[in-house]
Amino acid sequence: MRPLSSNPRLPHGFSTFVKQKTSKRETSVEKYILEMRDITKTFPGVKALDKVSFAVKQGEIHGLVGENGAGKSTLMKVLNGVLVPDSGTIVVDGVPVTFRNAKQAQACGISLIYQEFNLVNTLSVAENIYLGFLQTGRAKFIDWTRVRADAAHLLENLGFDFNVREKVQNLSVAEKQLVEIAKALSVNARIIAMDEPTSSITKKEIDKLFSIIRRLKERGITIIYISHKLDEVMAICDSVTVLRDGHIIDTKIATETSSAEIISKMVGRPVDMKYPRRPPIIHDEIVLEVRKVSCAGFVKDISFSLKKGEVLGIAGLVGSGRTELVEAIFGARPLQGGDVYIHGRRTSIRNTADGKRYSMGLVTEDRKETGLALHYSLADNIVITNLQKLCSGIFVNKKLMQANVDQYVQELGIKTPSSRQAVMYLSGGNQQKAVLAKWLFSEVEILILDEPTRGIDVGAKYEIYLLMNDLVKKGKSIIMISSELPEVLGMSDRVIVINEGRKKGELCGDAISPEAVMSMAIQ
Amino acid sequence: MSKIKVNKGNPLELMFSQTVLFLLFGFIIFMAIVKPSFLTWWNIHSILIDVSIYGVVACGMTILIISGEFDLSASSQYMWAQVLFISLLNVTKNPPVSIGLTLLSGLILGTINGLVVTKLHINSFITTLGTMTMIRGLCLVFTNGKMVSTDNAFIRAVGSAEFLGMSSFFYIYLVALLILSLILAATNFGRRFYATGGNLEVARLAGINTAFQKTASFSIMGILCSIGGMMLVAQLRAGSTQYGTDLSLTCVAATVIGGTRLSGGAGNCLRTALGMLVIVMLYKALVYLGLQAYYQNLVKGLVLILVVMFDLFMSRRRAMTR
Repeated sequence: MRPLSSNPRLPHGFSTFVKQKTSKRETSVEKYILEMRDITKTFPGVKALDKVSFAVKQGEIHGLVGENGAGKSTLMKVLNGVLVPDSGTIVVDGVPVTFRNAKQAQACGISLIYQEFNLVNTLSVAENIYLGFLQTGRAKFIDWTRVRADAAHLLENLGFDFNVREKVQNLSVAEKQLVEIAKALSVNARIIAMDEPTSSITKKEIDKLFSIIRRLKERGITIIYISHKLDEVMAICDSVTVLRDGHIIDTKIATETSSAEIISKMVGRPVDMKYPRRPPIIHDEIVLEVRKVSCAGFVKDISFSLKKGEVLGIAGLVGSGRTELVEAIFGARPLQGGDVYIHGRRTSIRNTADGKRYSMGLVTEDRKETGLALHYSLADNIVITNLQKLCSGIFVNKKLMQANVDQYVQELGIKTPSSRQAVMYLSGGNQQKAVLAKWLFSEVEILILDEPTRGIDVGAKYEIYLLMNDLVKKGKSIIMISSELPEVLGMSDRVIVINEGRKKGELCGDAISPEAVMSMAIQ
Repeated sequence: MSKIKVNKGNPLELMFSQTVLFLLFGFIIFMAIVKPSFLTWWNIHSILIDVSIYGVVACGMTILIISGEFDLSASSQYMWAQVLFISLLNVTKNPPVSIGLTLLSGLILGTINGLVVTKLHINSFITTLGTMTMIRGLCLVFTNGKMVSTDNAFIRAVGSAEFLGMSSFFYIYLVALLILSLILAATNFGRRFYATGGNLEVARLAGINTAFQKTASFSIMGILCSIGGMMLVAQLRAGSTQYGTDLSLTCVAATVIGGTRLSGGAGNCLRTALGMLVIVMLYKALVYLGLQAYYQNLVKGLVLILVVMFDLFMSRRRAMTR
């Protein structure tokens, strides 16, 4: 069997066409059960999928890998009918189909198992499998004996024997996953897509899951296995497709490739000049030191330090504990162990007011939910962090407030008709600047930026980077979390990598490479 | 082959699943010692009559809570049913027509609640707070705030009818309880209430028409309020805007004391019946113990909070042990 060759020089779509021809000529057994051709899906401001062509052979286990935001989930939601693509076709068993909702995809034999399960916790295993459409007997009454027997039979076929009367809320994550698989089988799914199926189960349970997946394969069921965890993908999958920035990069036969090759394809874009240079301005003074900090139950024993004038990048996958870590340092979430030192002095930070008193500011990852009061004016949003500064007596001095607000609007180049404009009407980039402005107004020394450029356009990103450079020049220190690897690489003086709540390593200077960061983040 | 362990539950959890029964038996034993006359047939009978009338409405509240909704307007709907039913009886002198029209009115009012919640996406607390006030206002306009009464022979007959020593009200409740329990437990229509309240998105993705289920739960509530109102009329031969002003909350309390979680997706009418029995017995006991009726609300509220506290404590414990 030849790999599904893909030649990056050929245009997308064309390569699929060629693939199909050659494979058909070689062997008639090899048959595509699913082809997605030239799928494009645009969200406001982002092209999530750009002419993606993706083909899966009957009965194979097909891995789909890529960084956060590469488009894996979007592609699967298109397949599953939850999202309707802007253009492109889906072909199942040689027949073009269009799905408007998950039910239609299901009728075509396609089931998607989400990372967060689609189960009703208060109901029994058996009822969840046939949710809402239980087998009825006489006079439209549910034939519970039959329902339970059918459910038990499905699970037995997966090699499990458990009480189908048990409520789903009493099951472990791995057991819930089984129920999801049984649910997919109950509607005769021929293609089951699993989104990060091992994200919250133990090693032993993973082995069990793999044996089930292989069993499904024996029964001729096709599996699309979406994961960040390359070692697992390499262990279970027959072929692997790499998705990056909404494009298919390559499809490889698992035995003919290596983790290293896949990683290089995942991160493969060159780190270009999207990031403004800055001369090294790091002072020797350590402003923040974190010693063996634990929080949120799974972030354990993380230590690092931050120097004056430094940009420290925190890399890691979404859900690795990055956000929880900085929230705990800032006081937005309880510390469960460890100490935080500011300027060499041990602190006890119990809430965000404490964090602010120690001159820290946190720009949260979701500016609309936790960064801004959307209905309030730009001015109100900026001054909220430090009203004290504007007070004469017990009243806010409006003139002083206006002068300050004008200063920051100008300094940061926030484009707005007036500082009285409600921030909800500003563009994403300007909103992000408003969040930054509020912490600058509060004159913090340590600025923690969680995904500072998420969902804003390239121009605005560049302005944010310039601003960051400007701040460190003024002697402030920055911690930056980002899911965009090039951004971490392009902006940080030093990078620490978090993986499953643990610090996996620290990279500095020339040692910071996409491959190094990525392999620490996913292995 | 591997076997997945089934959560057997510890004795404490087992006890909690029957809190309401413990409460009930404990209470009966306490009263038997302190005030044996509490347990005379006459008193038990009068307790059961009250449980029957309120219980019918409480069934509706249970279905709503299972579906993840809530109805504050139940008390007003119940009032309106009394007023309307008496007026219809007095005007038409025709009980079947009056009953039919009162039921229809309940169906319409309930469905309006449901449609406002599901189609206009106004949360059920606000919606039913609004309709509660409006329907109450309607009753006041209709009656000028005065008590209305009827002397219809049929109604008098139903009110005083007994079978095997039990009042007719008890049988009406029993039939309602049976039918609703059967629907909830053994039909897809009934099970979809659980799916809808348990996880709206999952239910929707499974192809369940969740808006229909929610609207239906409000409609059922409307009908049950009408039945409850008519039962009260049969008992008192009168109706007033003063009867049952806190019925909505009593029904929620009965549902919760019975062990149904307010978060939806679980529970059944039988549990609520036991919860209602506890509440009504408490009321009567306070009177028997010589306390003013004014203490009723005080005690009812206290019991409610204690039961919910216990529920919360248990679910936290469960979450911790997992």
